[in-house]
Amino acid sequence: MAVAKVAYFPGCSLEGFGKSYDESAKFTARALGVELATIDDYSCCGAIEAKRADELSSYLLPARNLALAKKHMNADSLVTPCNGCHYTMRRATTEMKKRPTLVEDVNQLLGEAGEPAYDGKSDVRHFLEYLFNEHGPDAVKAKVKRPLKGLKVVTYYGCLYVRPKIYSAAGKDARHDNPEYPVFMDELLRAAGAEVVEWDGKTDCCGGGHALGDEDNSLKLSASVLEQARQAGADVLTTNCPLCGAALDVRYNDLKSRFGDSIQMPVTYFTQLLGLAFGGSAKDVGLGLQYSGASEALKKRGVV
Amino acid sequence: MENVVVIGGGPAGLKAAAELRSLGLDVALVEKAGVLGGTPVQEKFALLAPELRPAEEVVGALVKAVQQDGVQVHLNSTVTAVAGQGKDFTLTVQNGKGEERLQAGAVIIATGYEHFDPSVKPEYGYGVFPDVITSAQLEGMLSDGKVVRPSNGQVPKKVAILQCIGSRDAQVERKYCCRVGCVVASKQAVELRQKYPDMQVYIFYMDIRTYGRGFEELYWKAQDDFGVRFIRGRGAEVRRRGDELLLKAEETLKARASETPFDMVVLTVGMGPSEGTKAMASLFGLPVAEDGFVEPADRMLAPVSTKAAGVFVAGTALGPKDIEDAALEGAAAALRAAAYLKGGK
Amino acid sequence: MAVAQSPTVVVDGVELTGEWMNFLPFRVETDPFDDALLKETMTLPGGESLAKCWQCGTCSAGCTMNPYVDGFNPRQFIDLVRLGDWEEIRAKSDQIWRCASCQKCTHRCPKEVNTADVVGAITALLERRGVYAKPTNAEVFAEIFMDQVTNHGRIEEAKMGQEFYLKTGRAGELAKRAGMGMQMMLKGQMKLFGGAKVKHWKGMQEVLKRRRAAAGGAH
Repeated sequence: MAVAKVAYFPGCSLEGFGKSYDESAKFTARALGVELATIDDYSCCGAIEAKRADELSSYLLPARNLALAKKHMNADSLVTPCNGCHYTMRRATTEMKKRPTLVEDVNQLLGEAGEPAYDGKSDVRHFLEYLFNEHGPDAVKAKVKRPLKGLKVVTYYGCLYVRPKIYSAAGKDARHDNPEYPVFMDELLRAAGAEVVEWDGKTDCCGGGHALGDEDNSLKLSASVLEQARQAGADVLTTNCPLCGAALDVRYNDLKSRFGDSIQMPVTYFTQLLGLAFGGSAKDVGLGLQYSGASEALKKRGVV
Repeated sequence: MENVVVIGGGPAGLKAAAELRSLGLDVALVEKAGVLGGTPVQEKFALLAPELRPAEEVVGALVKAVQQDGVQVHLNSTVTAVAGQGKDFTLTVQNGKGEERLQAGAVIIATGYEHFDPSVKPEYGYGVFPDVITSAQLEGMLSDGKVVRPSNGQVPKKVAILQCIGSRDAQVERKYCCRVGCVVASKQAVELRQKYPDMQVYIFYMDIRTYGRGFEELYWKAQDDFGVRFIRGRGAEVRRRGDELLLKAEETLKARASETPFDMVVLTVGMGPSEGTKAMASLFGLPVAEDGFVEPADRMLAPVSTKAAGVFVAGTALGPKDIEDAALEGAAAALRAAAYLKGGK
Repeated sequence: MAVAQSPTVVVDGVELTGEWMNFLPFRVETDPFDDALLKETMTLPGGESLAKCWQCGTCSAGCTMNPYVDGFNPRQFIDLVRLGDWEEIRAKSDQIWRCASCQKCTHRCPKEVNTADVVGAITALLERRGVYAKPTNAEVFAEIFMDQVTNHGRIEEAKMGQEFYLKTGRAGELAKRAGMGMQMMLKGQMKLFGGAKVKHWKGMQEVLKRRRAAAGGAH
């Protein structure tokens, strides 16, 4: 099978709290015949903090990565599994397409830093959108070795995969997901045999952005997401965002001690579920790195 | 040639055809649907604002004039090609049976508008929750004499009407005002309160724009005589909670966000150019403005003329308007076409 | 404060002189509109689209933080800035910085106001005008974040948490979380030595340092 190579931008989080997302994304991609080739020497996208510090830096940081992908891999688009990077980089590419002088200003700085110039044309894709459009439910179905039969899942997309649509293009064309009720994860997981449970929390905010800044409210927002998922009757919640993963899963003990059993809800990445369906082991998809009891919940349903 | 083809059988086209006949010209009227009357008939408008006059009475009269005056009517027909120019057009018309050719010295385009499809804004739950309906659907219910929740067939007790859905909204590339939504909502609210005195009716709005003659009076009537509640805040989101719909909106004068239960939500949908209008603009090479409607030769000085000699335009193909104004433009376009054929400019 | 003046008052037939009504303020504001606040906010990063707002309330109605923080109302923040009502804006300084950046407001705004960015700009205005006695948590976080990016090219989440607790004077909480840190190290999610570093970064480091210094903010 020919292996397609994709310029992969993991983002800082996937080297930290989102390590299991990184491992499982790579495993899932490989199973579908895709190599996620990390952009060599990539750097932080700048998140929302860069624009607080300096507007131009918030375009400079994404531009460096886009230029590297172009220079070293001849890639006109990069794929990222992180909602935060997705937002930051699509904001940058959108604004730079709208205002060509920004590209000039950014290239001036890239030149001074001894970095390659950015051509202003690149596209940024979310790994979920990429999987859905380039492979899709049928390709997933064809690779399933161990269907996720009987597993009740709520899909949690968080904020920055669809919002704001001026950057995400959600709802603007067929390539992008529904701006209020996204479905791409639902369809991929259904193709893998899971039972996707309807709920209202799909694009609620987990408060992860203020995990440190406004911890009290941040925990309440996370608790609300987990509580809704529990009330919907899901076995596991699954997400496509490492920041949501960190807020809901890594903080699980904090949440549990504060809100008790009402928030009991194992958190997974959608790539972990797909990877398991493709025949991967718990280790292949980094299941041991989850804090909220994903392994146990999946064992109970015979998925692991 | 002393004849004119009018494309579109709504208020503007009907009025144009009748006026051309009164000037002694031969007229052919091409209508896509199987009936004359345009959107008011196809979408079953009940009473017209601001006089609460039956739509049938007004549009019916326009249709009757055309039928009695010897206009050659082509129903279920669309114009698919045009050849010639100046005072000698040949239009290819497609109908169920095949093609035919119509000769014309001048053409009037009155192909109208289409309501905004609110499923493009999924936050309002249209197409997901059955009790979220459009203003056009409510109009149909009022016309049929019974307003019920599609989910259970019961008369709703508490109704929210949300203004500017697909109007004045940059997110869906519709920056313009539909011009009739405010008076239509006021009218529908009055009708609901008249018919069901126990029903609570709330209108969520950003600005109330009742510019037409008699519009403001109807807005007053809704408040003064019918207890319709006007809430100054744009609806943001509709969710379902059990059997009810939950509307999120801010009462901006109070600076409080609210979640209010309703059992029916009506979306006052905006107006955009119809497929027919877009097709005719491209067929006749007419420029369209940023809003998607046909751009006339000069909005102030030649409002129903176009850059193409012998091609005139009227009604909502030129932008949102009410029936009164559409018919008025139909008459104006008829006059321009007649003057053109008589050798004037 | 505007006052009503009455030079004479007659009490029981005796005329008294003096400004008797000085203590009664008018309830009507005199010349309340001040453009300066609007202009200043619009020059701050993210503030550019502020003047487009027409106060429909779509942002506040759907806002994530509104139900959690009393008085968190993006529409009203914008209104107050536009009116030039500095006192009211200042009174809301402990709410404004709490925006969770969920982007629902920007997503839905019918006028394409970048509402989330505007709220960020209003926060920056408050910081700039020295309203906060000490940097807000959000500001500290942003600074640590940008320090890591500037110095190493990437950030390390766990380390950021440590620094945050130390910088906000909460070493105690950090200690409480040490157990968690151990757990993460064992799982391999937290690196023991060094951190994520970009190799070719010196030039970028210089540029970022210069840009941040020129921006002049605390970060």
